[in-house]
Amino acid sequence: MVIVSIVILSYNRKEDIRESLEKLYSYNLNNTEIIVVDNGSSDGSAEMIESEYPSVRLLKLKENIGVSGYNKGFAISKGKYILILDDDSFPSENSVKRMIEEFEKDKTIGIIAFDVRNYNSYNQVSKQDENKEQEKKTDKKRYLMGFNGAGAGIRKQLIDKIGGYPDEFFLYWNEMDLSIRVLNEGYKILWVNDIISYHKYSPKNRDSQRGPFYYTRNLYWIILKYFPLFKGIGKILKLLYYSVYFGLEQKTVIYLKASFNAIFNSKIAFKNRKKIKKEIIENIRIEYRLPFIIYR
Amino acid sequence: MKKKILIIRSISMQQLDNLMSKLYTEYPEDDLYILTHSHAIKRCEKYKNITEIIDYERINNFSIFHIPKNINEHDFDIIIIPVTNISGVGFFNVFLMSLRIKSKKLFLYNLQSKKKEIKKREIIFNFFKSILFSTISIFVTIILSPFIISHLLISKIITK
Repeated sequence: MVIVSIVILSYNRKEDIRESLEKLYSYNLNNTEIIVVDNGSSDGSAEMIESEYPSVRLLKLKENIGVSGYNKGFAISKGKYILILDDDSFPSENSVKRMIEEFEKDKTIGIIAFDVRNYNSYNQVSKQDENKEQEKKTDKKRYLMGFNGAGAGIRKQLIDKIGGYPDEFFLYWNEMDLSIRVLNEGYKILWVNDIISYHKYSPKNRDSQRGPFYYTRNLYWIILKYFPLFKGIGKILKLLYYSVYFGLEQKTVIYLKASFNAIFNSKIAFKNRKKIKKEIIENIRIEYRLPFIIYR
Repeated sequence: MKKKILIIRSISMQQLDNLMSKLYTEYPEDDLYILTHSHAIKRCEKYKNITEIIDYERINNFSIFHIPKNINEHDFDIIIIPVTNISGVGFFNVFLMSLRIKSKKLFLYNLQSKKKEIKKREIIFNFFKSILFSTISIFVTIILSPFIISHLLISKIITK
């Protein structure tokens, strides 16, 4: 019987996904399946997985469909819980077990947000912290926050009910979008400090316009999808102000381009609009400046 | 003599993990303090040899209009402001807030953990620049608002 389905989205990071799979297999996890959705990689990642890890359930997509690829993996997963990972992240040894424990203890936990640590700190902080019994304390605060998709557990039944990541986003803010829907169902998102994943945080590509574009556009769409109309308009104007301000500061039009794209394609967001409980909208922590501080 | 160093946690924990390794090497004997929002205090407790984690006490962005109570009981030698990009653009609010905290020197550590000293006069110059940008941005937002709001309302009605 499968208890945990580990779903990994892979795109052109052959060596990273190999390392992640190697780590996962070295843990000898029971009742676990590993699903890798390959987003049309051209570097031979899919072929490598097929030949070196034949027990992995591999879904080969013809093209890169962004975070939608995860939904394909969620759809075929058989576990009671899904562990979401990036192709360059992996959990620490005891974390899958600890995740199940926490889910079993409290049926109102919808998502367990892993403590996503930098891969470079793997050998420095991990071993002591993970193994000490006294360190196994949880922070039970009800966080009205998103989670990091490089390490998060979610109940499969919840995904079946409310859907996975937003297909229309392609990249970024997908975790926040899912978090809002999970919270709206009355479930909690719990961050636990001894449930850890390691992620290869990369400082590259900061000059790419893809990040600021999707970060900005999708934040507009989150507001259009979930915020009450008048409150939403206020936030939209705030984002517009930021787009002009940070565009001037950083000498770029990418934020305005993303703003207009979001507004002129607002039908896409409105089609997926959903009424969200007032207390969630009021308490969810959204970093509105985030799209504007990652570029250059 | 030991230096007192304040790290303002203006970046993700993952990036801070990277930076902390560098800071431990650069300031092995000195007293490190971290200023962070309440929700991240637990996450900062994993770092070894931190003299004190100071709670920012607010969930909002760092702002010149709020500094934690008692922070100025300390007289810091260095304030470290890590940024999520190369140049530090977008972090002006943090630089501005740092002017209200007693310190001798201010360093920016960028995404690649490269260090750059920031002079207080630069922050003041940028303050005036930000007033100009703010004025332009408000003006542009006001001009565009009616078009954007009407477009969104029509789009919402059509989608229904």
